[in-house]
Amino acid sequence: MDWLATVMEMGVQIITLPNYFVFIFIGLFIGVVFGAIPGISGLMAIILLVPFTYPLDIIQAMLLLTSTYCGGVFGGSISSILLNTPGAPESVCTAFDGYPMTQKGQAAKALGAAIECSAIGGFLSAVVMTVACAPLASVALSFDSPEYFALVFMGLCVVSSISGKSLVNGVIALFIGLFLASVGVSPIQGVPRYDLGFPQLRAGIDFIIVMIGVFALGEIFSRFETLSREETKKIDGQVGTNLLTIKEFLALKWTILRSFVTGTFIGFLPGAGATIASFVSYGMARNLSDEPEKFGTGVIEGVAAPETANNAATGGAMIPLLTLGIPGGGATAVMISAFMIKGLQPGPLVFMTNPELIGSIFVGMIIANLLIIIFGFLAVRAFTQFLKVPYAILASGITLFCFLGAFAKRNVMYDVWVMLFFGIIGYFMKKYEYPVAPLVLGMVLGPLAEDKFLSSLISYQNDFTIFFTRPISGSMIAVAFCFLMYPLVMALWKKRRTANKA
Amino acid sequence: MKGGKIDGDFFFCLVLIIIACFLLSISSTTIKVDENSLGPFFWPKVILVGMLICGVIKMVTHLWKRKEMSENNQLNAKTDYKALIFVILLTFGYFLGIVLVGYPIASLLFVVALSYLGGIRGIKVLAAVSVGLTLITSFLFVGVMYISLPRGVWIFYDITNWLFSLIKF
Repeated sequence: MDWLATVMEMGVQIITLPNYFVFIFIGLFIGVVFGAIPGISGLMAIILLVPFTYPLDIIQAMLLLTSTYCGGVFGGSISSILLNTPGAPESVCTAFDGYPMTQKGQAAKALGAAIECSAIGGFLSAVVMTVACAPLASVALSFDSPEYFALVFMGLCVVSSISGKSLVNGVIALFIGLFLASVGVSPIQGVPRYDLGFPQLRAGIDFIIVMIGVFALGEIFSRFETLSREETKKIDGQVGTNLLTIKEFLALKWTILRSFVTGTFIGFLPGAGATIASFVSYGMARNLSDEPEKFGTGVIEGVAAPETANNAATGGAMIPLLTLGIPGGGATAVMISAFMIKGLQPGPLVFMTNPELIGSIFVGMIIANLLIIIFGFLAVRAFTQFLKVPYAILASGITLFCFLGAFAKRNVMYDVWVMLFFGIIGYFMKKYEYPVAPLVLGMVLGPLAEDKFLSSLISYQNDFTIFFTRPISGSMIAVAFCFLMYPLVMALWKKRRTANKA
Repeated sequence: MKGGKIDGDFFFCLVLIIIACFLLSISSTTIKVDENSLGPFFWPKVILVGMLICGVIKMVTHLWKRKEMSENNQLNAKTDYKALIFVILLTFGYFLGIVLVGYPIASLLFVVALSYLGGIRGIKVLAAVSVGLTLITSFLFVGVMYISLPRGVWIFYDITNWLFSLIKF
């Protein structure tokens, strides 16, 4: 606990400096705005912000990105409640009851509940992250190569099995990502692979360039395909916010607590993230309610549960990133790049070498989640103005930032062409329902997986059983196979149930 | 197999399989490596074989469910391919234009063109948005972050240089 107190003190000292604190404000603002506007998510904001982190120090960069992450997850709820159009996938469940509340004239109450629950969920999960990270990092220090490989393997299996509608599509996307990561010089022997005669490919393919392409540019191509058919939704009149009364809050206390625990745990699982957390919490709130039939008609629990859970997932998702150096989703994968740009490899060693960074992230996320209350109020008022901006203008701005993001990393046009290529690939992936998250995680975790896999075999005389016979790695591999089998088992079970009903 | 979705998805898988086969065929090295280790191409070969197997599974499933999918496909058939191709070509032209005429001029033209394609017709709005976005991004990246953006060739190099000199601190 002494270590934690020291680290927190360092964090507080740094955060209170204006040139650091300002990045929490900027990040929250950008995150909430991007999260709230349908079609551009908080994740896209994080990706587009990466080039802005180049001149910043690592603490400023992480404060900016983590605040954007927290703000982006909350921001999606505003458009869900007011327009029935989720600004981000994690806010889909919020629309189920949030929009009916708007239709009943209770938009201010729904928005107030979303703001409070997001702040509480995010704040509590940031506290859990603060307390849990150090013990987990010390456990991670005892991991050898087989355990690391098993952990990465488990993460990749989880993300492939649950991030899309089809398991095969998820696994194909994962293999594409893993293959792209293997282009360039091999990690152990130093032999060039798949450069196809292009010297640029020997340096490998930068995953940030790929992310900008598939997420941002691919999204623009995809939206333009349907833009002519889209209806513009407008908000009638001025929108306000109305916080929960103490009585209302006490009535929701178990829903909030349950959703916080669920959200933090699911956020911690690699690949699961805020979207699944919000769906699971919403389902739990409905199943445990005395009046489950009222869900979907505009009940406050239907807003409180997903909003608490999706923001609670942010703290949970940071735990594997900080303690193991393994990102669980798109947003944390981008954050890993911010570490790498600054020459740092996230993981247990950072806790010893850069305690001030860890302390700043802890304190920064706690403050960012509390500030959601203030930003929530401001964002709701500003939102009506942002909605007036046509998508074509937003798309123009995003494309400019895509170019700048890809170009600014190494000042070469080659990266821009690579980004355009992956933008087209991203469009096709979206069109044919291949999830993008496994591709990105495959690219981020591929080199680590290959390195740990080959190191394990070198250390243990090419004995493949080493991954199964060591208790921790064996358990993780077993869990990974369970996750891979899960969609197949569920599909068979559904088929059988349908056959029985018929 | 009529309709965009089923053909496209099938084609996507076919391309994937062909690429995986091609990459597997070039997965070897003439550089001598330690005989006791697995070699630099072991890992990517495992991935490519996995990709190949998944691609084949996907194609077989696709053919199996052909009838059901073509019915769904008719519902999803309303796709504005013209706008999509335009926007991809426009983006390609924009990146090419950046190399030739420099970032500010190419961006001004691109924002106008993309906004117009997206349905914005007001000349004042188009002008304000294109100038505003180009100025803000140029200022942030050149003036604040000191990133050397492309300046184009011939006379455009001098024009871009002059424009950037106006926004630098």
